[in-house]
Amino acid sequence: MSAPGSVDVTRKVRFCAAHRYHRQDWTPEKNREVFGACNNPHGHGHNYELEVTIRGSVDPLTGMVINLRRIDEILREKIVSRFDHRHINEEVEGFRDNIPTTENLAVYIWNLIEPEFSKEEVELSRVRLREDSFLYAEYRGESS
Amino acid sequence: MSTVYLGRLYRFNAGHRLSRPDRDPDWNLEVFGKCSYEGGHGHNYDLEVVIRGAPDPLTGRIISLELLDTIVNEKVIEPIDHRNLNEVLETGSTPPPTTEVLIRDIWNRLANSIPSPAELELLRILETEKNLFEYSGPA
Repeated sequence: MSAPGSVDVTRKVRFCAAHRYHRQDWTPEKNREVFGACNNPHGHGHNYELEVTIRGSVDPLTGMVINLRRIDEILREKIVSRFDHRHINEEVEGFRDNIPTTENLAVYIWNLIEPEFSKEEVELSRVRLREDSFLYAEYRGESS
Repeated sequence: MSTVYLGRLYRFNAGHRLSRPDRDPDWNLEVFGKCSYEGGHGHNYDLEVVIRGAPDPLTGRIISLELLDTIVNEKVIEPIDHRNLNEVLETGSTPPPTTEVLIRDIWNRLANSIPSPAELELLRILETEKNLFEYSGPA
C-alpha cells in the first residue's frame, strides 16, 4: 500500500542485449519444443526498456521524491553497464544456469537495485522490463 | 454495484524552472542541474485522469465524458496550459514546481470537483517519455 500522500516516480532507461533460452539438461528436441525460436543456437537480441518506479514522500526542500539524477546513476552503474551490448547468457554473472527470460531478468534487476534505493531511503515499488512493445514482465518484490 | 475505473487523457504545455531563491546558485545547480538554468524551460505534459465509480444503471457510465472534459479544462488546462508553473501553482514558489509538486496541485484542483458518486482515483503525468509520476491522493 502506498503511504499517505506518497508519489510514485517512474524512470525509463534502455539497453540492448542478446540472450538465448536453453537448458543443458534437456534434449535439443525438448528445448526446441518449449522455447521455440528463442532456442536458436546463436541467440538473438532485444532493445530492452526498463521502467523503475520509486515511491516516497515529496521532500519539501526540493519538491522531489528522489533526484532523477540519482536514479540514473544507480541504473547506469548497476544495470545498463552490466547488460548493454552484452550476451546475457555468456557475459552477465548468474545466467549460466538461469535462463534469461524477461521474468528472470526483472527479478534479477530488482535484487540488484533494491538495496541501492533502500540506502537512499526511498521504496522501490516496481520493476517493469519490456523486451519489445508486445511483452513486459513486472516484479514488485517478494512481499507482493 | 461493481466499481469501474475510467481513464481520460489530456495534454498541456507549460514552462518551469527548478530553483530555490533561498539557496545559492551552486546549491541549485548541484540539486536541480539543467532544470535550474535561469531562463527556465518547458515540457509537453501528458495528464491521465482516472475516475472510479459504479456505472449508472440508466446511462451505463460512471461519469459523463463531456462533463469530465469540462471540469478538467476549467480547473486544470485553462489555468496551466501555455503558462509558467512557477507563477501559476497554488503551492507558491517553494518547493519549486517539480512534477511531484504539480501532480499534487492538480489533484487539489480536481478532487472535490468530480460529481458524486464518481471519485478521482489516480493521476498520472508523463513529463517526458522517460519520466512518469503517479499520485492517488493524500490518504
